[in-house]
Amino acid sequence: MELSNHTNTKTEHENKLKDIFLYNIAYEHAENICEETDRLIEENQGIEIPETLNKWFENFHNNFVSNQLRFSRKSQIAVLMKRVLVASVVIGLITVTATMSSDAFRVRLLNLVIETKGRFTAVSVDSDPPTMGITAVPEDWQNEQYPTYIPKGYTINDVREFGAMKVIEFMNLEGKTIVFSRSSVDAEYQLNSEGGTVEDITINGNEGILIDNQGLVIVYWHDEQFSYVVHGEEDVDTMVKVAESIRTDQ
Amino acid sequence: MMLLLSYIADPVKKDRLETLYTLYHRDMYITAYAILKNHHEAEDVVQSAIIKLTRNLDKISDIYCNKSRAYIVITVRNLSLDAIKLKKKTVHLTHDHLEDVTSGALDMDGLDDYILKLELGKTLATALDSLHRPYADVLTLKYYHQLSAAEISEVLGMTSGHVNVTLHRALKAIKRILEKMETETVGE
Repeated sequence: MELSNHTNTKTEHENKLKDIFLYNIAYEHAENICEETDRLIEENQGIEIPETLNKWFENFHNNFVSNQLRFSRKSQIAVLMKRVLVASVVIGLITVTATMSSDAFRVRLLNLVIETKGRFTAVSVDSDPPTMGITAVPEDWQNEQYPTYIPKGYTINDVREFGAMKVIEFMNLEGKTIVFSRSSVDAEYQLNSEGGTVEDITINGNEGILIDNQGLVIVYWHDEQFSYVVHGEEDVDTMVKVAESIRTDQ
Repeated sequence: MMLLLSYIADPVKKDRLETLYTLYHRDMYITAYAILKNHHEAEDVVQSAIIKLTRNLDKISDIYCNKSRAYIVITVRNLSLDAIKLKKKTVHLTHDHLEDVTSGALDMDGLDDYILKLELGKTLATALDSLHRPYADVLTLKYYHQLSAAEISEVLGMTSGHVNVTLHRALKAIKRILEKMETETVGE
């Protein structure tokens, strides 16, 4: 092993010396070339460099410089675009991370989705301040159905009509609401039961379901003609009582 | 205006290509003319050389030194020789092309020989140049300019394989020159 190392070192030494020896010859050849060129220049002093060569070089050089500039600009733009892309990705990742890690952001985002769906489910909560101007169902609703029992403190806050759908909203002084809605039997409801309990229920002989979703109680049932929903933030018994009190003036 | 004038007057502030042309266009032109004996052809060769040098501008570390000057002259000289070959429309297969590539290279009896013979550098360079100029050129581009076979092939317009063969023969030639010199010394 030692002998092998010694041989390698010796070979390396020899190669280095050989390189220096050859470098020296090469160096002298380069010097010779320069001396020879000097002699040539001296011998050919009378020869004029053609102006066409200078003009050619001027054009070539201008093109070369403008190409360099163009290439440099392209490179700079490419670098800039890469940086913008990376920055966008980073900002996007930060936003997503912040949204998903912060309860406030997440709730806001999810609320937006629920609110959008709420337009179709009629489970939305109106946060406008209570208005106590309406105290009875409109006159043209006299032949319609509406609750005849409402817990103490609730008064009619709003009455809305969307085509075949009738909605009556009751509100108490605390801002709690009970909403009754009635629509045609073929209307489709999307009731948010996620995280809550769902059980079958019978309202005035009609089958339905009762959803208790963290304080929000939803009662849904239907007869041959209409579907009904009552939802509010009162206890289950109260909400069922409201549902069973639906009657028609007719 | 003064700034512009100082920019034009000071070659350091010009870009490398312009500096190279300013410094060496006369060397290039006269070298080409000395070989070709024709102004138009010399001009063409200088233009080709500049285009070639522009591609290899990064190989020229210091424009102002003799090392760069030699590199530029070798480039022009070989382009001029190529132009002559092209004009004759014949490709000569010299003895170099046919010689066995695997023949022995430069080897000396003792390590000290390399050191002792350093002082013979100029004589050996001149002798090698006289024997066959491409030997000296390839050796210089390899050991002085530190170019690879591929880079040398681009400068001299030959294949990488031919560069290696030429280099090998250059080393053999140096050995022969040294032997001849020793024989002459003994004879004296």
